[in-house]
Formats: sequence, C-alpha cells, structure tokens
Amino acid sequence: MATLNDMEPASRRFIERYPFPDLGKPPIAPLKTQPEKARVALVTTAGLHLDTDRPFSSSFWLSDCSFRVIREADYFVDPGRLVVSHTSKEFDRSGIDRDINVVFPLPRLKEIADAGLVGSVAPRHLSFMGSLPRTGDLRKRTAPEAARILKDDDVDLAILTPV
Amino acid sequence: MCNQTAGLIARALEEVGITTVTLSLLKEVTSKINPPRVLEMPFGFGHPLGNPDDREGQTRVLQTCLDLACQAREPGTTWKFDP
Amino acid sequence: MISNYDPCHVPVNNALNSVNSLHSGPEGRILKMSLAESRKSETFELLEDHDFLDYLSKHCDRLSEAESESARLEDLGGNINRVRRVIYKTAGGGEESLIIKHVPRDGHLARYPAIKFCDRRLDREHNWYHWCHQISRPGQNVKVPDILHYDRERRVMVMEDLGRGKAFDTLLQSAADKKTILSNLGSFLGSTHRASLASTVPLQMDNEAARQNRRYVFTMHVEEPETVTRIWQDSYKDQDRISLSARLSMKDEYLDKYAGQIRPVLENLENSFKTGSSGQAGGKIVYTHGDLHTRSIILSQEGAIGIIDAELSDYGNACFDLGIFVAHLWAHSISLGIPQEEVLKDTAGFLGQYSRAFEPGQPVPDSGFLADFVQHAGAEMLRRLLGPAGFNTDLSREAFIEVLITATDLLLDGDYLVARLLEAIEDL
Repeated sequence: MATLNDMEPASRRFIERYPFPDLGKPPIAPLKTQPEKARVALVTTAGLHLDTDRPFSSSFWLSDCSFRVIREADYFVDPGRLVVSHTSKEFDRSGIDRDINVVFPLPRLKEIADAGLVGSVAPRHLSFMGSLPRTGDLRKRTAPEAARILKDDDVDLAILTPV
Repeated sequence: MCNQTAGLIARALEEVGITTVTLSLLKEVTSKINPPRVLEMPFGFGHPLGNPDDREGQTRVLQTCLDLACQAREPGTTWKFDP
Repeated sequence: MISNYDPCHVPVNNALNSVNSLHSGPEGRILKMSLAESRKSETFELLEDHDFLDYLSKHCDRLSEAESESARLEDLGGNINRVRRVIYKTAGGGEESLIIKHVPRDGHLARYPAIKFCDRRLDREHNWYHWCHQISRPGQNVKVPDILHYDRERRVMVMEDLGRGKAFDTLLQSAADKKTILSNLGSFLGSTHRASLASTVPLQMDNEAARQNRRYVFTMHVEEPETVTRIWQDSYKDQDRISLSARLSMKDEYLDKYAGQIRPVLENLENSFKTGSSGQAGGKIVYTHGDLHTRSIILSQEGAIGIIDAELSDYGNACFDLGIFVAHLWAHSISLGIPQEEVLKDTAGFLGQYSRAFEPGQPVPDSGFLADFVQHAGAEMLRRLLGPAGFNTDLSREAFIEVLITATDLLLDGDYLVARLLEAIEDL
C-alpha cells in the first residue's frame, strides 16, 4: 500500500490542497447473479489504449477525463497493440511492460472465465487516465458515458484498477 | 490520483446497476471517495495486482474480488488483500 | 445637452464644478480663463514634473511657491494615465503629500493604437469617490481619497494621498491582520453596494471604458488569442518565473481543449453584467468599483484600508467586484502556498461580511449568488493568466498551473465550491 509521501509533488499538491469533499454513502447494486454466470469487465486508470487510438493528453493540467475502449477481441488478436499514455511520473511501468496483468488483468480474466469461475469476459473494457486534478468532466460526462457502455454490454461486475 | 479517479468511476457504474469492486493503492484517497466495495492492495504504485508473472497471486486477486462482490452487505465494505 | 445615457459625460455636482474651481482661489483671486486658454484644454497635457507642479500652484492653488520648490515627485503613472505623488514641506516644517492624476486627451498605447481609452474615465473615478463620500458613515474603516480639486475640462484630479501601503502578500502572511482586513473590506463593499440599490444619485450610466474593459476581462483572450500572443511577445521577458514559450504553449493547448466549453460561460458573464447572469438568482445590480485587484487596495501600516483607481466604476453585477477581488486573493494565496482550507475560510470570511452588510436580513448568500460569484472569480483568474494583463504577483510554473486548473473548475464545475463556501459561511 502506498502513502501520500510516495506521490509525485504535482499530484500530491492537488490531493492535499483540494481534498475531495466527503461524498457520503455510495450507491450499492448487489451482484444480480452468481459469479459463475456473471459477465465481468475491467476498468483501469492506467492510460491504456490501442496504438491506433488517440493518446491521452500529455499535459497533466489539462486533466483529460476521456476514456478508451479496449475490445477483448482486438486485444487477443495482437496484445502488442496496447500502449500507455499517462501523465503521472510516479506510475512505475516496469511491471506493466513485463506483464499486462499487473494493471489490466484481461488475460487472467479470460483464464478464469475459461475455467468456469466467471460466466464471461465482457466484449469491451475501458481505460481512463487517472491523473486528474479536475474531475468535473469525469463526474458529469465521461464516467456516466462509460457506465452506459458497460450497461449496454450487460456487464454484471466491473473491477477497477488504479495505478 | 488514480485512486480518486477509480473511485469516482466506480460510483458512476454502481449508479446504473453495475456491481463494482475497486482496488486501492492509496487508502487515504480512496476512503475520501468512498466507492461501493474496496479491496486494499499491499503493493506500490503501478502494481495494483502485485508482481509480474505471478499467475497464482493475480488469480487470487480476481477471486477475492468475486468474493467481495458476492459477500459485501454494506456500501463501502473494505477488505484487505492478503498477498 | 448632456444626456443621462451618454457614456462619456457625467453630470457633476455643483459643489465640485470645475468651472468654479478654476475661477477662484483660497484668497479670492479670480483667474480668468481666456478664450484661447479654454480652447487649449483640448490639447492640454501634463507631461513633465514641472507641468504638474505648475498646475498645482497656478491652476488650483494647492501649493505655494515655497512648497512647490521643496517638492519632490514620484511617478506613479501606468501605461495611460499620468500620476504623480507630490511630497512637499509645509510652512510648519512638516512633510505632506498629495496625488495628482491626469488623463491625456488621446489615451492609447503607442504600440496598439486601435485600443483607445475613453478620456472621460477620470469623471467616473471622481464620481465614484464623490458618491462614496456621500454615503460614508462614521466609523467606517475603509476609505476612498478626499478630492482636493477636480478639473473636468482638463481631466485633472488632485486627491488625498492614502499612502504607500504594504504589500498584499505581507497581509496574507499574518492571520489576524488578514481576517480583519478581509472582514472590513467585505463589509465596506456590502454597504456601498447596498447603498447604490436605493441611490438617488443618477447612477444608471454606462461607463464606456468599463464596457471596453469587460471584453478584456471575459472574452478577448478566448476569441483573439493571437492578439494576446503579440502583446505577450512585446511585454513578457524570459526572466519571468514562467517563460514566455511555456506560457504560449500552455495557452494554445489550453484553448484547444477548453475554448469550446468556457466561451459560452464567459460570453454570458460579459453580456449579463448590466442585467445579472441569466438563470441565476443572484445578479444584484449595483454601483461597482470595477477593478478591485490588489493594487487598487492600499493597506496602511496601521491596518487602514484605502481604495483607489475607480475609473472603471460602472453600474452592474455585484459579483464583478467580488469575483475580481477574490481571484487575486486566491492567486496571491496559491503563490504563497497557503493551504486551500485556509483560503476557503478567508473567502468565506470576506463573503460573509459582505453578505451581512449587503442584505442584513439574509446574512448567508443564496447559492445562485455564490455560483455567479464563483464564475466571476474563475473568469478573472483565467484572463490574468491567458490575457494581456497578469496578476500583481509573479507566479511560478506550478502556481500558474494550479491557478489555471482552479479557474477552469470555477468556470465549469463550481458547484462543489459553492457548497463548501456555503458551509464555511454558515460556520462563521
């Protein structure tokens, strides 16, 4: 587990100077089905995208709240197409370079689906870029949009992985 | 700041009825956002699922997420992943 | 005939009629103004130090020969106005000072002749001070300069010197002083704004210079970024803490991403100054100072507050004054690394006192008003970063970025801040 001291100065300054207001109790949606029948999607904030997609903005202060869709089919056809564009300097990419599962466990998810531990792997997975000093766009636009995409794909469970 | 972002997204997904489990690498931040279900990870930045090529460990993380998704009763339920 | 709606003419109160002050002096001497001289007021200019001293001793009898001889002058002028502080020795051996301000007939910046500054703006400043004096109450700890002489024809005003004052940053570093000053300032603005709601002085006149200025405050930097680039290239040196090239590339990237989102917000603020932002419960239309940044505010060593530079005073949205001031408060605070919790408390203190004075029956402002205020603050922050005129404090790259991000939040997603401000004001 990391601490605030491990963060790079720019991000840390924002977290400390502009602490998020307490949001109170979150909404809760119990899992509607047994895990063996559940459709599972991954949502990461690692700034991943296919090499043909537009990269995330490289200026931290522009606070790029957009997301990219990573189709399961596209990934498995050519995993090498998945790249990272993330503004955080503290994002230690050594793990991800060797093994994508460290941040985006799509291969691992497929294995457990094949083994029958979950029902299916969702057709579309999502990546945001997590270094966001401004979250207005995220809260109002892009996160709800992401929710609609997963809902359209009948996703039962989403696992979120920050970096 | 990823932890803040992930938590906010989780809340939005849960809002439309998708069950979520959010991994956390920075509990001070995650707890502020208070996502529906949290799995606190003992790893450092860049490694939410632990070490590369640790197939057994990564699989266990996913399994724990499934368990948390099934067993959590209260919004904000937080477990600690034991590596 | 001078119409009430002529933007450049203000009916002047008889007691300060400039014709009277030209025609009599303290010893009853009559200075007849010849026809030739009166025509010269068109081209009348105070340029050099001796012009100012001559004016003070010959045109308005403010200085005796002896005082004039002892005088030393400090140039306080900016790009357009000519301003001098005149420090002189009195007969009794003491030292006094006054301020003399002259607005040239053809006000423009040499390099940008297209930008003309309305030459009647001194009337506006005079009018605002005069009005503040009329409505002032005993015990008020914020003052505006006494007007010692006003020459409307020649566009010269002689006024009380409120002193050099101490730097705003010094104030921000002392918690007790800061609380008092912000409180008093809020209170003063609240009561002066309130007084203009029921004012019998004809205030509903457009200030042309202020109208022009609003374009610079709100939209010019978004609609004409290349003009700003040219101005920056002329005026910014690379020795500033944030280099010109860094500024330029940030401005371009920023506008590329955000122009579409912020433009309608800024246009709405600009267009609704006179009527109040549409859809907001706020929009209180008052006699604004019009340019309440940190150099318009003089903080004396003893803690007194003076307000000057009111040439952009205009009748319009109260949030304009509040937003501009708070934008500067935040920029200075961010530059000094003051924690955000404290900045919020400071802002709440200022707004709380404002509200108490503005609407005694409703000491906590409504959220519509706060939302409007927050957007104004964001707009002022943005224009100081992306427009031709900067803050009065030199921002590091980190501070620049933080203010830019904050400005965007205030313009687009101020709702969280409104909620937190409301909480903080209620807790006062």
